Amino acid sequence: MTDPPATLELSRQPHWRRFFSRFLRSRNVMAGALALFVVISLVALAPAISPYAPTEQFRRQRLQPPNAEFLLGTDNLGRDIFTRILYGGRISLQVGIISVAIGATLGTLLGLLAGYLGGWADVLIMRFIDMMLAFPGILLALVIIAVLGRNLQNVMIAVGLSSIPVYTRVVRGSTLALKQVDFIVAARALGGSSMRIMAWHILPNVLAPIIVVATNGVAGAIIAGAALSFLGLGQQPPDPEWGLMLNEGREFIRVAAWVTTFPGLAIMATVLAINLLGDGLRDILDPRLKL
Amino acid sequence: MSTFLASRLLQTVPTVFLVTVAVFLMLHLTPGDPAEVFLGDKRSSPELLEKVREDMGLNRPLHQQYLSYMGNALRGDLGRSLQTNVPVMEQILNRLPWTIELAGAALLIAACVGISLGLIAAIAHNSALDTAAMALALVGISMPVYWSSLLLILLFAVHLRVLPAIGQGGLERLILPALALALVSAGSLARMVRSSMLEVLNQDFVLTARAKGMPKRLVLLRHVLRNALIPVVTMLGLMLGNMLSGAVITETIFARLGLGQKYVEAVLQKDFTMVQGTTLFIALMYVFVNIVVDVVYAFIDPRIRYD
Repeated sequence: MTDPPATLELSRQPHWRRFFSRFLRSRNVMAGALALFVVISLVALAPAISPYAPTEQFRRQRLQPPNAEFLLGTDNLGRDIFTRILYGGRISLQVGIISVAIGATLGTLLGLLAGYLGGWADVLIMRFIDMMLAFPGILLALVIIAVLGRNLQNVMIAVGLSSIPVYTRVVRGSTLALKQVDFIVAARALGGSSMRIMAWHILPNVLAPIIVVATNGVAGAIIAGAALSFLGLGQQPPDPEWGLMLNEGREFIRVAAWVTTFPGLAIMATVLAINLLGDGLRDILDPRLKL
Repeated sequence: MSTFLASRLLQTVPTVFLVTVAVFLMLHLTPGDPAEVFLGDKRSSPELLEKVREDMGLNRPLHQQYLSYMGNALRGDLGRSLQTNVPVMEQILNRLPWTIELAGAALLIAACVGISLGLIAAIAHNSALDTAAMALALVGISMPVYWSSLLLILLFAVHLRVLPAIGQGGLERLILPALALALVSAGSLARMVRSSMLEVLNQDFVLTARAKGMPKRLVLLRHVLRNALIPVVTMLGLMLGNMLSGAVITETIFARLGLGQKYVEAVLQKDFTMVQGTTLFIALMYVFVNIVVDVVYAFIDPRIRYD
């Protein structure tokens, strides 16, 4: 029992190839993936593309509208907004991905345990999840920040932890259904340990809904992370972050709308791209999943 | 019905218990000495810390502290704000009406816009109108509330100068924040109404009604709409939760002195008792709203029987 049987590998190949060809044909997936690719490339290549340093101040050029020198204008301290958006995107994307990694890992683990073990484990875990769900939306993240203190690292932890319930519920539901399926019953009859069955047989089969939830989850985490920085609880000045930039530009919205408009557009474009991708993936991987 | 209500309430007991324990433990989960948390940024001497511990009962066993915290909470006493020394409950009740006004208005807008958009998309299924409506819904979902708030201020307060950008009181100061708060929920509601409508449209009883010669408009009104809107009710509780947490941001941007704005202020100022009390209040309120939603749902959906 060290390797999965070879026949399984053979039957899996065309399965994934079929999915892949459906990805290529889905307009949503392709549009979302392309837009996301552009965003990630721009952000990854920030040092090469950006004309200035993200905290470099041009004191004589404060609140300049977009021009040839400053592509998207400057903010109240004379910093180049284009540069700051590129660098700020690194933080925002990082928050999105790391939070989802935290939430998806812990949430999946709890969901597997609750669904597979059942009984008291199930009751305890689900009561705990119910408790978390009593703190709606961003409130749970705010509570966690209030406890841990405010900085960017805690934002990722807070946003990640507060996304646990979605994954737990989805994974638990799928696990409950899978437990009755013949190959799982067979694996148990053959004496496979619970850990082994969960890791090798159940987890691969609940990956599809996890991928769908996680994709849309990245969009949600970017929004939530930027919200916390917007409120002054995440990234601290002078380093750029999209939510923080929006907040910094808020004061000057009457005289220099571009200071808020462009970071806002950056968040929206990124989130829209991820949501498009997520919706497309859902239609292909798991059409019954209702989000 | 009464059995359903009783079992639903019984289910809530562990949730409420865990919520209170979690909120109580917040203080002890905070890194560092709880007494220092109470002292905040004030300079602390060992004598002062000991005095705070004694006053706050931090020297007693944890379960006793919990019981006395809950005992006070049940009598409406959530302690005093560390910043202003005003009772927490008093501040919550002062702020709450503004938040309820905002959330209520936003809920109304979201329901009107979301349901009509979803209906249009479903009736014009697979047409350009459907695509446009769903694209609009996707944009709504992808708009963070702080971004839509700023855009609305830019458009209506800065450029058109028809509505005030900040403040509270009166309809004209309610429209922009409510609209901003409503957008995300309107988007997700539109998607849900559409898929729920399409599901009902495929049912046999719709075909029967059409086959017996009932005009399409009447079928939609009498049979489809009524069935399709039932699941929407379950979403209302969830949406209200989103509104409450979204109020944290809209109230901050529009300078409305509501509960959400107070909450952010308390977190920023490390006003621990205020954060703790408000968290408990909002969570319990949310749990209660969800019970009401479930009961209403059971009432209006004749297919569901809880015995």
